Order: sequence, then structure tokens, then C-alpha cells
Amino acid sequence: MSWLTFRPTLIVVALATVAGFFIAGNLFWLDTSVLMAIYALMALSVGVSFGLCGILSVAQAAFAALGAYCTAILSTHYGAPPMVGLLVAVALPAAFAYPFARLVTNMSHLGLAMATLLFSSMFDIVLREGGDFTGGYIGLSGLPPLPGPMDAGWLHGLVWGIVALVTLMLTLLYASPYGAGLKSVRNDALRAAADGIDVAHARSVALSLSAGIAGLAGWLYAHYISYLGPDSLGSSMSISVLLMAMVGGVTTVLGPILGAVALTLLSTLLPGAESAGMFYGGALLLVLLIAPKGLMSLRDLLPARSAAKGGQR
Amino acid sequence: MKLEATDISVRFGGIQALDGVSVTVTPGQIAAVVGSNGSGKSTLFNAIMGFAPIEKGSVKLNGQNISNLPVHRRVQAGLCRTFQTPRIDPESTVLEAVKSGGVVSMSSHLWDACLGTPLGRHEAREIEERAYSVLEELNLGDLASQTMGELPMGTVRLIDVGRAVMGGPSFILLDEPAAGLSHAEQDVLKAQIRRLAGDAVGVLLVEHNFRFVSDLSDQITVLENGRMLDHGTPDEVSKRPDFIRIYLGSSGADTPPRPAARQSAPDEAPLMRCSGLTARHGRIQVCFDIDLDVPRSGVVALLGANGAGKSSLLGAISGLVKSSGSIRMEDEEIHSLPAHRRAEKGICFVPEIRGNIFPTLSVLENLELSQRRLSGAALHALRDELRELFPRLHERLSSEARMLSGGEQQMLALAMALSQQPKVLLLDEPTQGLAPAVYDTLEDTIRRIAAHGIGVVLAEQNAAFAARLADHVVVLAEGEVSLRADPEILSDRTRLMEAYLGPDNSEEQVA
Repeated sequence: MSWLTFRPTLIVVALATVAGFFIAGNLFWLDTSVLMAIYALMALSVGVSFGLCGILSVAQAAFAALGAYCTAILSTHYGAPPMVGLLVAVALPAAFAYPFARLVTNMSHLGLAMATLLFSSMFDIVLREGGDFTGGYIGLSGLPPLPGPMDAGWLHGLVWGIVALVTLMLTLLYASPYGAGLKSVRNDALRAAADGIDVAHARSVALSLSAGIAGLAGWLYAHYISYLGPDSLGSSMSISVLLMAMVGGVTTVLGPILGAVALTLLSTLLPGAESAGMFYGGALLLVLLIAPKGLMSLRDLLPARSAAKGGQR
Repeated sequence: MKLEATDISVRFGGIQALDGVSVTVTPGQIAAVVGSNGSGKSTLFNAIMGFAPIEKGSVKLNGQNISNLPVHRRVQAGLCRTFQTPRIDPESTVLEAVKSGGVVSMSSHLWDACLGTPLGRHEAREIEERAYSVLEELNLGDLASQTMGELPMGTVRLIDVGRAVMGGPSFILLDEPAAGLSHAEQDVLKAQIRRLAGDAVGVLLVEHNFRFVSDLSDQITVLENGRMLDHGTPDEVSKRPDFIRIYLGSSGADTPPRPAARQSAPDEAPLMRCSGLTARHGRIQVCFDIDLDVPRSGVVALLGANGAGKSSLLGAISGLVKSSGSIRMEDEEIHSLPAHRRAEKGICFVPEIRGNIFPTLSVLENLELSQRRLSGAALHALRDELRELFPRLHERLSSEARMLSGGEQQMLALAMALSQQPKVLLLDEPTQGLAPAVYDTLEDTIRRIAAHGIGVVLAEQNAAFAARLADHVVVLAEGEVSLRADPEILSDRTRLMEAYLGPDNSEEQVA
């Protein structure tokens, strides 16, 4: 394990720290930065499921919502502290995703996308019809804040620290033989089976991990906003984070984070309330045309450094 | 301890791909399966590994029936295979590809990898070290960080072998591992296979390259049409008539070559001259630096075992297969032209199994299609000529082409080719799938076509048929010319066999 393993994590920490200095005291940008980090986590969950293992899931926001509702229900109904909610918010989506994936991951990309989309719609209805337990259409409010001081600078550090930890986890996974095995599942399931890999199990574990990361993002979201409704983490969010991961480069560790940052900045900075969507769509198309494998692929245009190739892909 | 596939039958729809085939491999043994294309070799591998469902028979590993286990469980039990066309992720690195093969031997889990636990780190390090040493053994150590897509197919095949070795299998199945390898690479592969056998791994090998197989293996099973034809040591098998028939082609095996009427003066400039011609399919080079002269009115027979590069060479000449080198037709360089322009220059290619006819059109429609460029007197002259050459076709003008017999279809294919008014006719296995009874007619027809001043290149598996027609014989082995001779050579079975098997380089490469 060389220092290259830690490079993506160090990049995240360094950039978040530098950005923190620039935006310190600016509540608007600190708020944007926290949401950016939450999106980045969800985009990372897409990186694990789709980028690493080839599972096209359009239910990442639903997994996040599952985690978010767990912690919201536990804290509002039962007064559980957020740290207890954290465990459940990560564990339950992960535990649910495994058997779900065993059922659906043999499908084609399109079939999988439909199946996961259907799951999100069903879950959405459950949330809306859940009465007082889920807060129904009105949602649950008055959630306790994230641990630590109620300080925007601290929150910025906390969420990006979590992103850095997840980045480290994924870098370790990508560089391990498991990572190589999961990539081979994505590329050619038959070949992976010939390597002795139980393809159905491998896919399900990958989706489970992905759902756990999404649940973590949901936990952060719920306690940061302190309100959770059925529209907070809806299907459109699933599609946005999928886009973020694709735009950044879904097969790399840093790509999804880069995509989340780029698209959040884009939607924040674009002019015109009414026509913003048009510019946003145009910019997305442009990126996908210029760099079909994501913004991260543009680094190949940089002068090649052979040592940099092996470690962090 | 052994791998036993007993009485295996596999059926795909209406096709019996394997019929009662048995193979046994013991630890340290190198066994081989040979046979022509479509004989069921790869299907046997698929059946043993669990990729193809078996209809009858059983696969046993160390006495335990594994016929009903899924692929990955069989691999976990100690089986492993490579693929004839390696299935690779072009974007992954060589190291990643080889490491994938080691996952099966790990006891740590995904979370060990994510959390970097001591066990996970230890096993990852172990696998990385082993991957490097496997690559080193295969002389590929320098390639570890290359991406797979950048490498030639031969190297990719070698890497596939390394990947299979990584899991520490007790039995390994290699599907044509030597295809596309240079002689030096073949020797590296041989050494690796011998090392495996020395480590008590049982090896089952499918390979076209008989020289390679007979160098390595203790036992050879010959398959034909899904059945076991023969079984024995390489020495025994190579002497048996059945095996020689598969390699050299069958019919009229004992008919001595009939001297054909030689019409071209030996010193006349050739009609077509190919020099330094190479052919490649994607990244696999299949023909190397081939010189070929086709005289006016001459028949050049292109012989060689299955996979020797005959069809690819015809493809290279016609422009359908990517190639480099030079082709001069009557002193005009035509290699730079695309296929349709070469056809205008007089090259006409008749693919195997009469691939140039339209089965659902009538004979007349087929002929009219191929004659659409001609009119007036030229057309009349051609029609008269065809009527004379193919009287049988003339009686069947209104029949659908697919309703014709194989021999009639071949006549139609030839008639369509002649309608292009070619200077050089490239015939790919015209006897394939034909009953020996029509050979005489076909032979006579081709001879008469040549007599019209056309040069014929005849790629044939059936050496006896070629012998009766050819003025000159060129034998290909592993994409190179291994013999140029007069047709008399075809009665010398030993020399012909030598040429088919290709250059014997096992000695010179040891140094």
C-alpha cells in the first residue's frame, strides 16, 4: 500500500480545507458546501454500485431516504440521539439492499433501472401513506442537529471529513483484489464467474455497500436540514446524483465527488431563475460530449506520469 | 485425485454438440483435445466448467460429482479455465486482470478491503506479490501497469493463463493458449505449462497447433463432430489414419495426383504477384510475409491445417481482410485499393460454403445480378460460355438457389464469379460440404475455367482434391509458408504432414 492509496483522500481534505478558509463566515457558501458534500456522498454511492460493479440503480435517493427516515423516526418519536440513528441509517439500507439486489441484479441495465425506479416509487407511497409514523405528506420536523457545536464552519469540516473517510474506504476497496474482481463483474459477468467469483453475491454486496453510503448521506441530510418530507430525497434526486457521478467520471474514486461539486456550483452560479435549467442541461450535454467518460478522464490529457496510473483508478 | 468427465453429451437445440465424450486428467498430467472447428472442443470445456448444461454424463472432481454446481463453485473447488478469445476489460491494467484471478483464494471479505483490516491488507499484499511473480514467470513483469487494450492478442492470452494460475487451481483448462503467440512466447507458455504440471496441477489443453500439443501432452483425445474419434499418446494418434484424415482431408486419399495439363510457360510473368503480404483480424496477425505468384491459366493450391491462415490470405488478397504488402495484377499495384475496386481490377473471391449466392433468389436472378454490368455482345458471349461450362445450371434457371444440391450451388457460385469476368479467381474450400461424387465435375469445371486464361487460387483442406488440380502447391502453417512444391509432393504423406505441422522450432528455441 503506497502513499498513492491515500492521494484521493488527501486531495479531498486539502481542497475542503482551502475552500473552508475562503468561505469561512459566509453562511450561504458554507450551506452550499455542506449540501455539496451530501450530494458527493450520494454520488460516491453511485460510483460503488454503477461505476465499480455495473449496477445501474435509480434508487440511491430512496436508500438515502430510508436512512434519513430511520434516524428521523428514531429521534422524533423515540428521542434517540443522532449517533444511534447513524447506526440504523447506515445498517438498514445496507441490509435491505442485499436481498433486493439478489432479486434484481441479474437484469439488464434498463431492467435494473426500471426495477429500482419502481422500488423508489413504492417507497415514496409508503412514506406518504405512513401517517404519523412517517409524517405523511407533511413530513417530520424538529430533528436534533448534527453532533458538535452549531457552527457552520464545524459542519463544513464534519461533512467533508466524512466524505474523506468514505473516499479512503473506497480507494482501499478499488485498489484491493476485491476491487479488481468487482470491476471484472461489471465488465463481463461470465469472466468473473470463471475467476470463481459468485457474481450474484458480489453484486449484492456492492449494492449493499452503496446503499449504506447513501444511508449515511441521508442521515447527514436529515439532521442538517432538521426536516424530512417525502419530497426531500425523491426520485429526481436519484437521477441528479447519477448525473453527477457520470459527469465527474463514474469509474474513478474522485469522479463522483468532482461531479457533485461541479454540478452544484453550476446550478448555484447559473444566471436566470427561469432559464437556469436550460443552461444547466446545455452544460451537462457539453460535458458528456467532450468527456464521455467524465471530467476525470480529462486528466489523461495532462502530461503522463506513469506512477500515477496504477494507484487510484 | 482426478478430474473425470464421463460420457458427456451436450445439445444446443437440434444440434448434438457433444455425444458421449469422456476425458480424464490426473494431477501433473497434460492432456490435450484436438479436432477441427466445430468438433466440440470448446463445448467440452464449457460442459466441464458449467457454462454449458450437460444433457447426459457427469463431471467428477476427486470423486465428487460437480455436474450440478454453478461455475464459481467449480472454480472454488479447484477448476479453472482460460478463454479462446480472452474476455478482457480493455481499460483494466494487466495487474488488475491477474489479481482478479486471485480473489477466489481469499478468505477476507469486502469489508476487510474497505476498512483496511490487517487480514485484508495481508491478503491483498500476498495476492499482489503473487501476481507480480506470475507475470515474471511469463516474462511479462514489465507490463504490470499497462492497460489490457494496448496489448497484442497473444500477450493477452498469456496474461489469461496467468490469471487462471492465480487462483491456485488443481486442474486448469487452457483453450487454445498458443494461438497468435510468437515462437518465443510459445516457449514461455510451454515452460509455464510444464511448471504447472510439475506442481501436480492437471492440465487439459485445446489447441490447433499440433506441434505444440505433441511437445507437451501425454494423452491426446481427438474429437470430430462432437464424438471421440481417437485417444492415445501423441505418437500413436499422429499415425492413425483417422487423425491424418482430419488434418489432411479425406476423400480419394489414395488417388495419386493426376498430372494436369500445364499450360503456362514457366518463364512467363505471373498474372498476379503478391509479395510480403500479411493479414490481421483486429489485433491478431494471422498471415506473415507471404509471397504468392499466380500464373495465367494456372491453379495454385493453398493447403494447410485448420486455422493456418488460408481463408485470411484469400481475404487479404480480395481486400476483405486488413493487410499490408503488395499485390500486383498484370504489373499494376492494387493493394492500396478497397475490395470493390480490386474486384473491378479482376479479383473475384468465392467464399466458403458458396457464400456469394443469394439463397432465396432463383438461379436466373442470381446470374442476372452478377451480370448487371454487362450488355450486348459481351453478355451474349458470357451466357454462351456459362451454358457450355454449366449445362446443369441451365436446366434449373427458375429454381430457388437454396433448393439446389450442394454441387449445383457450387456451380452457381462459380458461374456468378465468372460473370464478373475475373482475371484471378479465389476459391475458398469449394469442396466443403460436398459429396465426393461431385468432385469430378467440380475438378473438370475448375480446370476448364483455368483454361480460359484465368488464374485460380484454390484454398483447400482436402489435399487429395487439390492434388488433382494444382499446378503448384503452397502449404501454410501458423500463417507462414511452410512448403512450396509441385503437386507430386501431395503423394508424400510424411513431408506433407511435416509441412502441415509447421516449422519445428522446439530445438532452436531452447538456446
